[in-house]
Amino acid sequence: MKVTRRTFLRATGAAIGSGAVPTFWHRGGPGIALLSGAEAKGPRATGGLVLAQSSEFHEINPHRELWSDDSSFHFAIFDSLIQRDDTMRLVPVLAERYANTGPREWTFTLRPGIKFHNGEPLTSETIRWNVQDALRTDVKRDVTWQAFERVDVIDDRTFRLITRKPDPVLPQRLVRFFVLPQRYYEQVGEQGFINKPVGSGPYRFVERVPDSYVKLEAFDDYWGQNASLRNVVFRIVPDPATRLSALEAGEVDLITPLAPDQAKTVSQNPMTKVASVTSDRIAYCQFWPESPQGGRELRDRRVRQAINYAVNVDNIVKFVLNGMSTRIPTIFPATTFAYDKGLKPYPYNPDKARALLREAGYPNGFAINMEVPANFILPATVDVCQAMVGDLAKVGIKVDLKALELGTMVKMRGARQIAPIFFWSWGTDFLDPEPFVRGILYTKSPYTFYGKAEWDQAIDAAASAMNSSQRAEIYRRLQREIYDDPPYIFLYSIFNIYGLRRNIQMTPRTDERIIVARIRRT
Amino acid sequence: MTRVLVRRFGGLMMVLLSVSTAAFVVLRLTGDPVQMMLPPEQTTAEQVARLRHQLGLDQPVWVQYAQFLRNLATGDLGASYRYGTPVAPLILQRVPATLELAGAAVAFAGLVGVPLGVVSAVRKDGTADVLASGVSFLGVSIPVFWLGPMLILFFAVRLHWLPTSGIGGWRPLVLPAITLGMYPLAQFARLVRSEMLDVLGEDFVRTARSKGLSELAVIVRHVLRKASLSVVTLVGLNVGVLLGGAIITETIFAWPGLGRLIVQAISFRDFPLAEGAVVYISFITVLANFAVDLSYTLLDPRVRST
Repeated sequence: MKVTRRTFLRATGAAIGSGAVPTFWHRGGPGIALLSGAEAKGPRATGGLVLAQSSEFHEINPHRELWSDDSSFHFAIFDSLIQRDDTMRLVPVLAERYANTGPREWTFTLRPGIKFHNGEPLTSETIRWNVQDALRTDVKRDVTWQAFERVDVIDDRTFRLITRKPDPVLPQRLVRFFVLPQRYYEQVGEQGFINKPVGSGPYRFVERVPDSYVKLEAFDDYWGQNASLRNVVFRIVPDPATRLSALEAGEVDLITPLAPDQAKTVSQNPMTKVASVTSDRIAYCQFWPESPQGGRELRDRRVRQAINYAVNVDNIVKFVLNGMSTRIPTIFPATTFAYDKGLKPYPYNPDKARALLREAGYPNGFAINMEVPANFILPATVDVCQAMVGDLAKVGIKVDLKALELGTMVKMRGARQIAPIFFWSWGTDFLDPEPFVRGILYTKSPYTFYGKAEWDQAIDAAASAMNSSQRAEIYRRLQREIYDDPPYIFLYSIFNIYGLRRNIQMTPRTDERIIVARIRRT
Repeated sequence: MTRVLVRRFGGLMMVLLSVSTAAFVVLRLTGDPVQMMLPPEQTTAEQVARLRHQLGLDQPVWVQYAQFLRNLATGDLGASYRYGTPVAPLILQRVPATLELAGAAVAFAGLVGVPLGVVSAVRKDGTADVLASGVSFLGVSIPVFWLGPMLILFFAVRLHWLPTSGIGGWRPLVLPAITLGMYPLAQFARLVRSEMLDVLGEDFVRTARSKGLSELAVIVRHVLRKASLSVVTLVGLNVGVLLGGAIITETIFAWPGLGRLIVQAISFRDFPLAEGAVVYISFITVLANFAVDLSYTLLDPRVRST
């Protein structure tokens, strides 16, 4: 057909006029429609739950890598041998019981009759294959599993898990070791599995639109207690204000995370409420006396102590974070194993700080650089740092604060170009000090910027001590030592904060997990 | 015509090459994907080294660049670091949502903006003109990051007429389309007004009127048609920009379009995905400009002969 000016104009006009473009691309849409917007006025579909979270899922296959943001989804679809209840006690799940039967050996007995969503039985052989899969090096696999050596199958329900080294935190490690169905996985391949994951958990996968939503449905043949809500939708809503609006409009039942400054709005609304708990995630500022940006003053322990005395952390928690954080004396989270309750945080004492600086040879203070990631997993990072800059100025330390994009800061930290003081966060779901001290205190770690040989020895000794009181003693001593010779400005454990509709019952958890199967509607 | 197409194609290739090279260089200056990919809480130096090797990031930069160009020449954009899957399907997966939003926004802008401009020109200096100019003034001045949340608060939270965000059906599309379409709407209204005012005074309009044509026929068949050339240019340019994704609008309304994919790719330092997206956007932009040029030959007989 010859395209003339007339036909072209007509076609263009018709396309714009009919609004054909949007309807042409209309896709069926998820069950979100079922649970949102229109229904916000009327009664909801029975037994539905919609959660809005900030970021897209990183990994659907839990063996690839473990991210906090993915865990609510993983815990809904998959099961692991051991999990934590809402009080953070370790409880056997797929395992009926387990015991440490040798320095490197743990013996497990599986519950009888467990089946995956596709009907495939879960046996000791399944676990053996899962451990093998987790140890693959030709594809991306999470580093946590490197602690495993192998599985010896004894019978269908009994097996021995052998670790490379004595591993006192193996049960903690297994909490997120989700068991995948061997036959299905081998049949569809990894990409097929990611497209349609199958597990043995309380929910089965229904549908996913990347960066938009995932829809799940309760698995009726679940071996354990059935979930109370039939349909669950995880929605990805990156903008915090939109998340809050969606909660207020009744479109979603639960939003995560909720910033401390939004908590007030949520608690004042009669239809919504706040749930919060102290997290296992901490905030701190790391000292690096050898930074190419300067900071040699920090070589003197008294200077690092002075900075800890000079910063008014209590005020920061109270005014910047609306009280929604728990102050901690070191980098051991308040929720961790062997946390020393007898140790009190540095008191705010600018006079003592000035005296220490004088003693160290800096009666007029000094200038130093500080860096903070502006877009971070923690709220209000820049505000917190600005408050610290003000406090430090009062004792004569002039801080040049730079707020950087996270990726830039990660690069600078990796290339060891970062400032002598920088704000950062650490957190794991082990509720054990090992990942903390291994990550940011052990001198062989790329993320440690101040440490000592004797601390390394203590960290190694604790890592393989199978006697828990002996471990606790090592960690208690370590806390006192880093308190006296501070490698950080000690700050706080953050709160995990959620916004909920009034009729939703959910226990907020220290380990940042949202276990949808345990959420109830009243 | 063939010569024009060949020349255009050569230009397109040059643009793609220079834009992708710029993306390659700039991305590598800004960060280390390996550091972003591994959770530091449990990572050792050996794991960092192994991953760097697997991704080929331990090679000298010029070797990586040669590899990148070789892949690009064969149409292979590589595999995303973050998702572990080829880049092209990841981008194409986002295209329908992007197209849906861009189409709706342009349709809204055109359907409201053009009549607004017409009314403004015909009733110059009248009340309608003042009102229409006010709307277009607001349209160009109100930033998306303010308008979006305001629309959500009013229509979703207060009135419960529309959902705050999400996808599926026409209802979640309304607010983001208005938000995104507001600026082009104002542009259309202003452009149509000024073009029409120019044309209204010309001889052929007087002739048309003196033939006894109705005012509506004069406006639609003569004046608006003459003014349409610049409107088409504007539509073309807007489509080019909007198809590249609308980052802020997509973020506010949780719309799974290209803009968000790109932002995530950059903040995650997912080099192949970010490079692929940049190549795609420059391709679309050049193509949209080309389509605009082509449409001139159909709209204006004088262009055809040159």
